[in-house]
This record gives sequence, structure tokens and C-alpha cells, in this order.
Amino acid sequence: MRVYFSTLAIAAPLVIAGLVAACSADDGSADPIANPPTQGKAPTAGSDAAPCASAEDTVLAAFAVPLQECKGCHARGGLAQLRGSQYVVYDEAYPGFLAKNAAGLATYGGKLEEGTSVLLRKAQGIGHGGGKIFDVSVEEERARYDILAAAVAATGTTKTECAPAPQGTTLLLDREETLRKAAIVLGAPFPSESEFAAASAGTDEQLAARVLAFTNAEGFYELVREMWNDVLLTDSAGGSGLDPSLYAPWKTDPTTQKRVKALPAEGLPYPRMTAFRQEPLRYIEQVVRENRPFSEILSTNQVVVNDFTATAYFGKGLVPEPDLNQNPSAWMTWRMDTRPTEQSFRMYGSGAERTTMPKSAGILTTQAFLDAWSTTSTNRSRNRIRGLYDIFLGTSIFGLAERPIDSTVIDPPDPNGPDDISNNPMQSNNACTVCHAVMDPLAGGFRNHPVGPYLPLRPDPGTQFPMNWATTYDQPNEPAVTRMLPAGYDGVPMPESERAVALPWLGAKIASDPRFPQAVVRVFFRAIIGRDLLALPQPSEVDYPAKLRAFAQQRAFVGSVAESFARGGMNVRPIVTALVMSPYFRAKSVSDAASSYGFGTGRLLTPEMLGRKYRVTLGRYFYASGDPGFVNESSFVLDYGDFFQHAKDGFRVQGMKSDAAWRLVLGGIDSVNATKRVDAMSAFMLAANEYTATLTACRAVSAEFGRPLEKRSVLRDVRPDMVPGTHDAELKRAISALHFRFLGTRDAPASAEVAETFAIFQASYNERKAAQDKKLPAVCVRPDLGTDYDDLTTKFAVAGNDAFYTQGAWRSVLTLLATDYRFTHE
Amino acid sequence: MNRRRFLQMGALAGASLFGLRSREALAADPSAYGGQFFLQIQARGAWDVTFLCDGKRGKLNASGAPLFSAVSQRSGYVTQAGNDPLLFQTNPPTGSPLVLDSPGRFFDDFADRLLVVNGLDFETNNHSSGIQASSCGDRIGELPTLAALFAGANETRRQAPVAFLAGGQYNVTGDVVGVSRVFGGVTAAVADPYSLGSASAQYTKDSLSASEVDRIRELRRKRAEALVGGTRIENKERTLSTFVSATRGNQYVVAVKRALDLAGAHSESGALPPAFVKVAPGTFTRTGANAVAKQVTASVTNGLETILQCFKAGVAVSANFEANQFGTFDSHGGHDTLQKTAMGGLLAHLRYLFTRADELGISHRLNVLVISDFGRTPYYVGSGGSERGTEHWNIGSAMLAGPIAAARRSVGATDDRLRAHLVSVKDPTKTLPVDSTTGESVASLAKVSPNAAAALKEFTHPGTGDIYVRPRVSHLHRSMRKALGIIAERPDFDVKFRLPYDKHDLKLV
Repeated sequence: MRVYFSTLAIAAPLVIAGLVAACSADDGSADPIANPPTQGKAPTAGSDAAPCASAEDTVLAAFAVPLQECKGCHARGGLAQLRGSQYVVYDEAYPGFLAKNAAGLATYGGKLEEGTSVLLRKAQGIGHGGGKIFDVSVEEERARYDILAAAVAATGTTKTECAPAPQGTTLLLDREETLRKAAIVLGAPFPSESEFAAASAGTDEQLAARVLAFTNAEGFYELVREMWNDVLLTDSAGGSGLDPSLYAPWKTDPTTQKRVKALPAEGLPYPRMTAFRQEPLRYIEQVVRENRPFSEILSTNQVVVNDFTATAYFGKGLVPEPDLNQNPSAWMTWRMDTRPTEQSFRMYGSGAERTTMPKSAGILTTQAFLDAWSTTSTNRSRNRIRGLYDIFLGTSIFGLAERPIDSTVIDPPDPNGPDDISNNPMQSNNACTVCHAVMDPLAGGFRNHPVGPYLPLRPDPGTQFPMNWATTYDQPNEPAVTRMLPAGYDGVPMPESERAVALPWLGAKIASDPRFPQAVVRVFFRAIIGRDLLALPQPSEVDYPAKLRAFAQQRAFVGSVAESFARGGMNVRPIVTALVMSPYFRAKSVSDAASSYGFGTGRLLTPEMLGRKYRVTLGRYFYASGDPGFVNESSFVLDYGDFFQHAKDGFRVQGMKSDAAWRLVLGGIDSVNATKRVDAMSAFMLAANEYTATLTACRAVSAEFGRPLEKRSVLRDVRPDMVPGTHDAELKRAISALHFRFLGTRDAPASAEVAETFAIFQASYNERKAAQDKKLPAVCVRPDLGTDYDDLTTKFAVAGNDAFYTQGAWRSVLTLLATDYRFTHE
Repeated sequence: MNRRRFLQMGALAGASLFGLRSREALAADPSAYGGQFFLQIQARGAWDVTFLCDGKRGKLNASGAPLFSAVSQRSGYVTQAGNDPLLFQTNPPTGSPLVLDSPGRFFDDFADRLLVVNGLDFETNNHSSGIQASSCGDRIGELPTLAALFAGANETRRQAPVAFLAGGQYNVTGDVVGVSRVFGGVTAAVADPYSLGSASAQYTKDSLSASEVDRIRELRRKRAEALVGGTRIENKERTLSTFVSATRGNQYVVAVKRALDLAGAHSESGALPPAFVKVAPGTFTRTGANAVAKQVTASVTNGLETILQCFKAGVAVSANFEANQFGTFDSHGGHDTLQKTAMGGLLAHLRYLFTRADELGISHRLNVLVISDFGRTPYYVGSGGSERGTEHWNIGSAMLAGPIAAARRSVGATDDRLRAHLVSVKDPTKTLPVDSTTGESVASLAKVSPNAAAALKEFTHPGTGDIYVRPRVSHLHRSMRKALGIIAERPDFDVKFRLPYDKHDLKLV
């Protein structure tokens, strides 16, 4: 039992007043994708009109927190519905949840019994299946009633009728700065000077169009895979849980063998385990690439394959013979295959065994998903449903019942007890049922996928499902003490005809749930903005009114993006544009710190983003290997060109193990033990950045000076013989350009910031010249790159001699910039 | 932290540290840290504490046979007695099982340094929530892990470059300290980042000179400090603050290299502390013919040696570590086999930790918390004799060692149904069973049914007026925050990261 209202009754009117304008900027009709909020300055408040409360504002301020207590049982498809209640509470996973709850309050809160709202009587335990929820004094009850009455009265009030309230000023990145940051975060090539000039002279609509074009970059597809792996966690390093039988065809299939033998040794790990491990992420990538409705990732009866994984789905004769003269990278290319899998078959061993495949359900039927979200004979896929609820419905199952669980007061199933529901606490004890009523029917979607990562098998005639689950799952012949609630969704039972294809049925239900679009937006928000969505604040938190306001604003924004996404055929690209053009991405500074909750400015770049940023700023990824520094950009990569073009990140090396270690050191995840990214720098992470920056800068200088000016991307317009004293102006102009490229700041050549950086250059130059130090670290010299010299002087320098002492000086400058806060954060 | 405060701290640090020119000289500094350390070891998957520190008379194994010959107060803990019928062992695919330990042997050897807390309520039976609750004391709010709080509280006095060594699943810091994940091959390069280090002489030349490095670091720090407060955007100020802290500590990272070199060399040698080997002769070896034994030895030494050496060198203050290298504790099937193997692995790690810390001379400064996600049901589920499993149970145990733990002591208790006794707020060594046929119990005193008594989390004794509460994991964490000096050092942490159920403090530690 909790006492929320004792504080809310007092604070709510004040909070409501503050909230009004926060919400009033959005009248609910604007389309953030078509018309993103891109003003140079966010609305500055200010009106003498008295604030008024819309129904949504009232619900938010006075009821959002206490309704959290109700939603456990009164969630859609939840315990209360199971027991016959019609009252439904919507959480923030539903777009427009405040309006929905306002309507519910108006319907049930407006009914009076003995002079008191029925809803309040229920909350006090009168005629309430959930017992007493609130325990308050008469005065507090009266205050609550007043607020409830206000909410009821306000129902139908639109926000535009209310006056704005003060919230300060937000300065946004200008169009050039936005273009630069978007390119870096989205993994697009660094824009050219002409593109920056066009952005500066153009409109926000033109900028949005340019950002949309960034979503065609290969780096963006890497980002898509990364953001979805952050939640799906399928790209784990091991993959040992995958069904070994899938590999059997590879051992015997002649076409596969031809491909494997044709691959260089370095490439072997890739097609083997990695291919199946990456299948869900490649599936999502492919849906995005082909602009398919995003709902297909859960519901479509088609698979995404490359020539290796296709053998598992389509077997002999259905996968093309390899052209051994072809670049092997073609075999790795992923594609959508729309042949119905349930009509195909796969071969075991000599082919004596034959098993038809099940109907597919997007990523849900992939080995990697079922492996990462494996279950047990007693968990019965509930773990999977918890994951799906969180990822695709934006709802935490744990949040349904935040009360402590106490197994010790729940009578366990008695093996000698009666075989009825009374002996099944999941269904007979409300403490259990509050979650299980929501979770267990959905778990029925996995009824044909009982344990572990096994690829779902549809039986040939005369055979049975593994472990004989599907024939008993939630059926009368299953003992009542362990029987699951009937498979279904949101209170609607699964049709008998769908039981054999339960997972596609479930996937389709999830993909058509009103929460699905917003959950998708949330994943993109986390990746692009760099922070998760704000949670509903608690009244005890510092700065509660401001946090509540920020929460409401953000949910309104995200909800409207989600609605546009749904209306637009679930193409995810416009989500990206809406996010990039929003203040959450573009805020540069605020006049009132309390108005900045939820803004992503200053986010720490992920290791993968950092790797891509190295590429666009220094012209190359950082590579490491067992012998740090040299065995990189190997002949294998050179020979096979873009073979590894789909590299996960900039730290990939010959062995994924080293790559994984780097990602972990820099705050990334391994999808098994480390599953949450680190979002702030430590001393050790900074040292790792120093190492990668030093090494990459070292190589970049040598490589850049090994190219003619027109082919350079970093040290443009400077030559190695430009030294302090005689070429200060040229050097400062180059440094000024680097400041924008690396740090995102427009510092003029004559500025103090450029002078500081120039001083670093000058000091290194002087020191090296005084010491006559012309040696270059061997690790920095790449004889196989940068052979396209523009003059003999440069060639001499690149060949291993810092003839003018400037390479060392530039190394200092680039290392400084690549370890600056503004480089590692955006 | 506001700008003024960390500029002051930077100035203080600069007087003693930034003035040093040699990176080797800088490297020597962290070893001056003379405070305590904290290490949390997670028995991930939910252990069965009746196999270790909360044994039960009459408990049957999965096949229905007695698990123990008897139960006694052996070495001060309730565990099995007799000739160690409960042996923790590996279960290799081929060959004979390798006995690693037994609860009797373990407590005989280490009771003098252990405090056991039984009957601890984790209030959840979900792994994610349980790992969070055991790490931070709150199953709902993502508070900083205890190890992070301890490192953060100490960082105000000491710039340990890898103050908090992260491990396992839950490493939330609340930005009180940075996260350091240390890996052998990568760390060697990171520890001396400007050398572009390599074992090969061909690549040993530094990319930048020491003076160049100093200039870069100084300007980088200055620029970061100048940015503080400039945007007023909450997220940027947060990440900027941690970045500035990192610029102060990262120059000592070179000192980590020495610790890791020592750890690597020691692990490679396979040397085990004599006290460790004495207990289980022949079990652990790096050189023998027994492949399983070699694997076990390598697993035990590799992870912990790095942490111990970082503590010894003063470059780390706290760490989280997960001991699941021997398989899972999550025994929904094959419970007895899985628990014995996982428990054997856990105790092997603890043996190594304690005996090696003795060798390194840091035992008197090393605090250890051994805890799991929660407990397991006192009954088996499923069918199939030895294949039967157990389910999740919100009541479990914890073990502590180190200067803050009163040795050879246990607090809290459970009944045979593994229900937690209530604990006296005034004197946590006094417990009150919820239901008992003999003596006082909540049910008899309150004259309520056993089920109603079991549901009570707080009870006032009608005779003495003493308040009894069910010990929760949040109580343990608050008690440890106090014992570790976190609250004394940083009272703001206890306010900002408030634990639930703080109406009553239980002095469990």
C-alpha cells in the first residue's frame, strides 16, 4: 500500500500549472516527421494568460504515479481483465497514454456512489478485487476527489486552449553543425565543403532531406545492426548454443565445401558461426535496406540468407553453385529470400533424414534469437516474452508488479495435491497472476519452440515435436499443476487453426500492437540521441516538476514520431530525420538546466561510432591485432577489397576476439556478460582512446603526406615542408579546418583556440628540430599505402624520415584533437 | 561536482602530480594508497545455500536420499557434518570427477575470516532483478553497485586509475566513478598508450615524446575544464564531469601495466599458495597430466590474480567479479550435479583469493562480499530422480570476509522450509521464527496462522517491545555502506542513492 496523494494533493495544482505549456507547444496535430521541430530557438515562454489544465496535464500531474500502482492488474490483457473488469490503465508505452487514461478516469471516476467517485472507493478497497490501494485522511481524500473532478471536467479540453508557461531558451546547432554531427553519428561520409555551404544557405527542409540521404550509407546499416543488437543481444561472441545440426550440411554439402575451400584462412570464422549469429541483425538490416515495412521483422514468412546460411534453409539444389572465379565477398552478401521455408527442406548427413521447415516469423524463428533468449522446461519461454515485451512493446513486465515477490508465502505446487488450478500458483495466486496473466498467453506463441535454441522443426507426418510439447501445451491433457494459460494476446485466444504456426501468429500480433511503433522509435532514439527515454519521475525526486514536464514533452514527441512512422508504412528512415532535427539531438545550450532533461548532447560515442569517426576524421579505422599496431589492414583485406565491408565496427581485426576486447575496454558490450553500454568516460577508457588516437594519427600523417593534395582528406592544403615561422598562416588555416572536422567548433585561424593547438604543433616542431630527430616510428610507416606521392620530398618523408620535423608535430596535433572531449563525445 | 570544486581538486592534484615529468615517476604514486579494498563475487544463477552455509537437517537430495549424514554447527556455521558426504566436484565429460572442495573443509579452513548472513530476502525471483538487488541493494531503482560507491567514495582522496574494475552483469556507477574493464592483451597497450607498445623491438619507439604527451594532456584537461558549465545541458555536464576526472587519473594508467605484468607472470607460472595446495593436494596443478586439473587451476588464477595485483599496486580500489567459470548455479534440471560443480568452482576461487591475498600481504585490507542472485526452492521440481531441478526462491544468503566482517559469526536464520526468521533491530543476532512448534514465534506471539505470520515483514514483540524485521538485501547494503566507510566519507551518496526500507537499520555487518 502506498501513499502518493498526500504529497500530490498539495503539489499537483502547481505541477499542473507548470506542465501546461510544456505540452501546449505540441497541439497533437503536427507531424514531426513531415514537420520536425527545428526552430533555431525553442519556444520561449511567456504569456500573461492564466494557465489552464487539459485532461492530459491533470492526469499526468495527479495520476501518472498512482496509476502505476493500478496498471499491474489493470493492464490490457492483465489480471483485472481476466477477472472481468473493464477498467484499463495505459502506461507510457502507448502513444497518447495520458488521453487514454483521462478517458478512463472520466468514465469511471465520474460515477458516484455515496457521494464519492467509484474509482476512489475502489482505491480504498471498497468492492475492489485488488483490495485497498491508498490509505489517506478525509482531507486528503477530499483533495484527491477535487483533482479527479477537475480531470473529469477537463476531459475534452485540448492543449491549444491553454497558455504557455515559462521554460527558458534552447539554442540549437546550426545547419552546418547539425549536418556534421548527423554524418558522424549516422556513419555517413564526412560532408564536403560544398555540402556544408549548401546546408548553411539552405532550409531546414533541405537539411532534413540530406540527413535522410545519410541513411543510405553503409555506416548507417552498421548502426542499425548495432542498435538492435543492443536490445536483442544476439551477436554474442560464442554462438556455441546454436544447433549443431545446422552445420552438418556444411560438412557434406559439396557446394558449401567449394566455397569454404576457396576462402582464405582469415575468412573462415566469418561464414561459419558468425553468419548464423548475425542472422537476426542482417534480417533487420535487409528490411531497412529494402524499405520494407518494419513490422516484417516479426511477422514475415521469409528468410534473410547468404550463400552459406541458405544451405540450412534450402538444402541441396536450391542454393546456387559457386562461381569460384567470383569474389568470395559475393557469397557473404545477405539477401531476402521469399521462398516459403515450410515448403523447403534441409538435408542431414547423407540426406537420409529429411525434415520440413516451419513457417518463418521474421527474426523470431532464427537460431540466434532462440539461442540468446533460450528457455527451460519450467520457464516455458516466459523469459522470451519478457524480452519481447521490453524490446517491441516498450513495457517492462517487472513494472507491472513492483511489489516484492515473496515465494515463502506462496504455497508451492504439491506433487501429491489435487490436479487442478488451485495447485497452480501461477494461476491461482494473485501475487503471481498479476504478471503471468499478461506474460503466459504470449508465451504460448513459442509453444513449438520449447527449450534452447533449436531451430523449430515442423514434423514430418508421423513424427512429433521435440519434447512433445506442442501436443500438450495448454491442452487438457497437460497436468493442471503445470498447465499454462491458453495461448493468446491481449485477452484474445489464439485460434485453434494457428497452433501449428503459433510464432508467426504471435509475431504478427506484436507487430500490429499500438505500442510497437513507439518501441521501435525508442530503439532508434537510444542509438541516435544516445540516451534512453525518460522514465516517469517519482515525486520524491529532486526537480520533480521539471522532470515531469520533460517526461511529458518527450513522450508527446516520441508518440507523434511513432504515429507518423505507423502511418507512413513503417519505413524507419523518416524516424532518423525526425530525431536528428529535434532538440534532443540538436540542443547546443539551454538557459535553464532544468529544461534539458532528456537531451542527448554530450553523449559518449560508442566504440563502434568512435571507429567510424576515426575513419571520417583521420581517414582510417584503428586496427589492432595480437601484435599491436602493425598487422592490420592485412593483405587479405587488400586482396579482397570490400570483403569485410560489413565489418561490425572500426576495431575489427583478423580475430573477433581482439575486437571484442577493445569494444569492452571502450565501454561496449559483448551481448552476454556486458549487456549495457558504459555512457561516461573513465581514466582507463581515456587511456585506451589515447592509444588508438596516437596510433591512428601516426599512420594518418604518413599516409596523408603520401598522397597528392587533391586526394587527401585530413591534412589538406599543407605540405610536410610547411614549418612554423614561415608558414604560420597556412598551418593555422589547416588547424582551423581540423577543429571543425574533429571537434565541431568553428574556430577562426586567428582564434585563441587555434593558437593553442598551433602552440602544440610549434613546440613539437622546435623540440624535434633541436634534437635533429627525423626518425619515424616504423609502425606509422605504411609502404603499402601512400605510394602515390606528389613529389620526391614527400616520398622521402614517407619512406621513413621526418625530413622537416613536421610529421611528429602533426601527430601531436591530431592526437590532441582525437582525444578531446568534443571528439569522443557529440 | 561543480566546476569550482573540481578545479580545486585539479589544482591540488597538479601540485603533486602534474609537475612530475617522468611517466615512471607518476607510476609509482598510486601505490601510496593505503586504504581498504572491496571485492564483490557473484555466484551467478542463484546458489542453493543449503549446500553451503544454511544446511538443513533431514534434507533429501533429488533422488530422495539424505543429502547429509547430519547437520551440525561445524566451524560456527550450519552445514553438514560427518565425513564430508557432500563433495563439490567437477563433472568432466570423460574421466573421473575431480573433487574440488566440500563445505566442511572450506569452513574448517576459513571460518576465522567469514561472516555468514542467512535468511536474506532479495524480494525477487528474477535473475536480472536479483543480480541488481545483490549488487546495489535495490531490485527496482538502478543504484550504483556497492563496489562503485566504495571506489567513488575513495576517489575523493585518491586518483586510482582503474579505481573500479567492472565484471559480471551489473556495473552501474551513478557516475561516482568511471568503469574500467581490464583485459590482458589490450591492457598492455593501453597502459602505456603513447609507446605504441609491442614486445617486438622493431616497434618500441614512442610515437610522441614525454614532453609532447605532457603538453597534450595538459591542454586537453584545460579545455575540458573550460567547457564545464558552458551549456547547462544536464547530460553534457554529467559526461564532462566524468571526462575531467578521467583526465586526472589517466596518467597513472601506466602503473596498471606493472600490476598486470606481475599478474600475468604469476598466472603463467601456475604457482599456487602453499596454504591453498595443502587443502586439496593433487587437485590443482598447472603441470600435471590431469587436463581438468590444469583447466581448473588456470581458471581460478587468471581472473583473481589481476584484481589482487591491481589492489596490491594501489591502482584499483574495488572490483566486481563473477565466479561462474565452472558452470551455472541455475539448476532447473540436474540440480545436485550442477550445484556441486558450480559450488566447487566458487570455493576454489575463494580459496585462491584468501590464500593469495595472504601471500601478497593485503588480507587485512581486503573486504569481500560473496552473494548470489537469490536462493533456490527448498523442494525439487520435475521428474527423473537425479535430473530433478529447483526453482527460484527469494530467500538466500551472503558471506563476507575482511576487516569489516566479524569472523566466525552468522546472523539471520531460516526454518526448514527456508522461510526467513525475523531479526531484532536492536540486536541482529537475535532471531524470531515465523512459525515454530517449540518456543516463541511470530505465529504464536501474534496468535495468527503460520501463513499470516510468514507474510509479516515487521513485528513488535508484545513482551519486550523489540522490533523484529525480515532482513532484506537492502539492509545488508546499508549496513555495508556504513561498515565500509562510504556514508562517513560521502554522506551525499546515501541521500542521492537512497536504499529502500531504511526506516530500520540492521547492523548485519
